Amino acid sequence: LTLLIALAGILTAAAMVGIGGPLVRKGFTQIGSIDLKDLLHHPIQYIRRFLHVPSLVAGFLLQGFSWIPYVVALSAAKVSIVVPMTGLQYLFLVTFAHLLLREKLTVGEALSLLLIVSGVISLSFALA
Amino acid sequence: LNGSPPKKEPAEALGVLLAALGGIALGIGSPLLKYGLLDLIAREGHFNPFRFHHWLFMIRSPIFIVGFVCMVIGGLLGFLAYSYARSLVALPVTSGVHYAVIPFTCAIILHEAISAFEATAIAAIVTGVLSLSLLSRKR
Repeated sequence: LTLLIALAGILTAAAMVGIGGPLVRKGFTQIGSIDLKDLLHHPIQYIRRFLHVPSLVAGFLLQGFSWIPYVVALSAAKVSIVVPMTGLQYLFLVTFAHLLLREKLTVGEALSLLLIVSGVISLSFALA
Repeated sequence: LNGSPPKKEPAEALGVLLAALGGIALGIGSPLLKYGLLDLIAREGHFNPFRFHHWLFMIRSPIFIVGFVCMVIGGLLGFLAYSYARSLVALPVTSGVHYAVIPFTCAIILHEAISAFEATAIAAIVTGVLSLSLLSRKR
């Protein structure tokens, strides 16, 4: 049961971060780059600006609340195993970056993704 | 055009720096969260997110709060980095640094030891994440 809880927590957290990322990026493409000095001087104006972009709010909420399943996974297994396993988020991220932003995956990037997934699968054996 | 390497845009370099700093903050925050959870696990046997008193117990743990603050700082730095990097997949730097730092911070804070097999799998993930970042930055 502990193994299932850890795996469910990792998968949920990875999916929330991986889907939230492209949504945030989509929101920023609408807003444009942020001037750090301006942000620190007028934080309320920036927050109001952010709140008017639904994809930014949705992405931020998904990423923000992903720490709940993440904490559940942390409570059920070793931290040094759980944390790298959340690298599975890149599978979700690349898929949703293609669906939402039309970002194309190169061969090199696909190989990197394969390396991540093989590492995560190997670690899942260590989790058991 | 004159054969010299192209200059990096300062905004992009700042994005990568923010992402790396975010990764370090997350790498410190995760074991602190677990440290805070250990008391609860010792008392209740497990953590159930649907039990309100479990959350109450945790927010009274100073170490859990420090870990949570580290995670928020890491998340905010990563969030800011999104606005500077050119491509979405240029940002795995935060996670790459997070995963690379975690075996060390866990060994220091939680005295967790990892096997050679686990270290190899973590190295594969870190390599994959960082190469994903480097390859996407060449776009």
